[in-house]
Amino acid sequence: MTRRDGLLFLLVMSLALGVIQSQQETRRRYIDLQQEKDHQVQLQTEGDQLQIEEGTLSASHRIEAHALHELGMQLPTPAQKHLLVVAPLSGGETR
Amino acid sequence: MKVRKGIPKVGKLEIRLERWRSFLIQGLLLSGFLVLGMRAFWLQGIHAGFLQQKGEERYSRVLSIPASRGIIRDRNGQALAISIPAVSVWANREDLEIDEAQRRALAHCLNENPAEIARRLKGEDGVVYLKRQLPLDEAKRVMDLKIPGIYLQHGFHRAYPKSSEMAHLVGFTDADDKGQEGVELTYQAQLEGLAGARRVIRDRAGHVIEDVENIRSPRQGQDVSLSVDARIQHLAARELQRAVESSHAKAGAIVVLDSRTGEVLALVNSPDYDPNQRGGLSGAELRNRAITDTYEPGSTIKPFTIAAALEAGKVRPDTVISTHGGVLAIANHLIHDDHVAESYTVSEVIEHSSNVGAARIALDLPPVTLWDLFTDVGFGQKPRLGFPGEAGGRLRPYQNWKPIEQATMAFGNGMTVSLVQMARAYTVFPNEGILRPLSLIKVSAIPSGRSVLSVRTAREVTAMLETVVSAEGTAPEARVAGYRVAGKTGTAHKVARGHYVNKYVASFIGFAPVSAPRIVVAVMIDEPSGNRYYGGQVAAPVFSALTGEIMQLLDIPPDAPEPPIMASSPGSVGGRT
Repeated sequence: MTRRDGLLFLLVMSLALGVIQSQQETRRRYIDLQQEKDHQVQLQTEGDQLQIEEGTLSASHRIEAHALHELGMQLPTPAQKHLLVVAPLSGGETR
Repeated sequence: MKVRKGIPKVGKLEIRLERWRSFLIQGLLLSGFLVLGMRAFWLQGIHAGFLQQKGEERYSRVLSIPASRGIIRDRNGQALAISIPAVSVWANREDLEIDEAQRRALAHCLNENPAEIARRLKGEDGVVYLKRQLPLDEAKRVMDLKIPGIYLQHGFHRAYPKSSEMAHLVGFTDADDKGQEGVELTYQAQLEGLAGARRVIRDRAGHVIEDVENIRSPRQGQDVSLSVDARIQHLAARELQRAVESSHAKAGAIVVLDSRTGEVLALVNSPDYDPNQRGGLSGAELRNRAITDTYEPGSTIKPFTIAAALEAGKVRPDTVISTHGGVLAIANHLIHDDHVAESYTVSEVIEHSSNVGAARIALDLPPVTLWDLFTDVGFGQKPRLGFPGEAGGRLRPYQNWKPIEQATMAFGNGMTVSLVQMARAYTVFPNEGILRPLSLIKVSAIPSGRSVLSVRTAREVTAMLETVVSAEGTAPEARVAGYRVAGKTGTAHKVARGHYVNKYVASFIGFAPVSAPRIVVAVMIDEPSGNRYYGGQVAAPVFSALTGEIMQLLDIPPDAPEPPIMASSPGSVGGRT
């Protein structure tokens, strides 16, 4: 075996090890990517669940029932309502 | 082995082997290597694909890529229907190995009766679903029991945060996430998500380490933004519920339209149901009466009779019509008015809802003139909302009309309509004669419509409809503090087995504010019982309460000549703002 053959052998061996290493790295990163994607799906699900919760908690009928039964409020009758019409401010007035 | 005979030489033992023996061994070894080499060449060179495929089969898997159904939102972005991942638990009874303790634990995890679970698991073969649409965390507890033969199937659960208030409009999906009713069914193609699939390679730990191929790309369901405003829907549902309860009615419905765009802002029915809990529902609860049910409109049709006569130039608003003391005989039939009068102007025919006056005006018109306008405003045709089971109502061909039929149709007998049809037809008055298509979807620009009435006629009829809510009209209870409103009452006998019976449909259809109309509100109360059954008594107060609240909700400035209180700036009236 000449010296040149020895160098080529070493080069081939190091490239082979490099391929193995990069393949391993690719797979490791791919697993990380999959985990991040799973996490994204989980967050999406959580977001949807929160939207449902928000929609349920903010439902007008629920708020109204809470105001009526727990806070002792009442809906005003038409006679109890007073409409205030705010006239536009004249030129010199400021708020 | 041969040894030379004689005395052996000392120190050297000469052994001589036959050459063919070493050649044989070498040949055998070489042949062995050659066979191995050829086999290796065969396996790794020529037949490599087969082995690779076998190898991949050990580690490759086809994974489903889930695609969720689109979200249904109201016009302000409020979620009305959302899908979240859920799983179904099923058992393959052929593989099932379960003892009593596990069965109890399983029933506990599924929140089911152990006896019921035991009943379902009985039998020797076949697949049985134990629970559908289970939340993921609960499903995990089931799998932690590690019972052979119990499996999970991943899917989605559809949730309806606004529960019963939106039920008839939004509808619901089945266990396979397919639309069954309402918008869920109408927009199934748009909402539906199509799952994808990909082939991957997994390592021994179960991690996906490589994508082999994309078998099918997923298609996420598209969101749908409805024209409905959840706040107005709530107000309508609340007022309808009150009216149905207080009048001990069988049912009711309300439709609120944006008069400028034709968008449906609210559509409610009573009785209703909770789409999140659909066990034991009856047809009465499921029916979307405002769209699928028809009724005789009664006096709410009169503005169209008058409009046809005005358009034909037969009458003017102040033309006096003889009402014969409130009774008109045609053939063997008598038409009555509730109020006795010898004559009314055309405007007063609307204000007092005179059947005789409307009938006389209609009889002066060729049948085709009346039929043309009724058809132009959409009676006898489906409103084309795209909703399942839309009713078109009944409007018979004018060629077959007898005089009595033409006369009774003038006040809404002998024809049928749905509430949503009536609401749409009324948009021609605030829109100065233009009829626009209805839309359940939020629109970005005002859709083009077609002119079915002249501007003058629309304005004249609007002025007449405004008198209906005056103190002398049939619906003073429809008035709204601070706002000018216009509308018409209707009280129609119901038909049972071909005859009119003493059951009524009370209705009121109107719009507001008259000076710059924004909404049309149609209220229908089915079979109010007790002494109060007129549209002006039962439906008009609902219109008043609901319209007043919508005006405030939409920040529409009052247009009545004398609003209750005027303030020049915040804080100037008794310190209140």
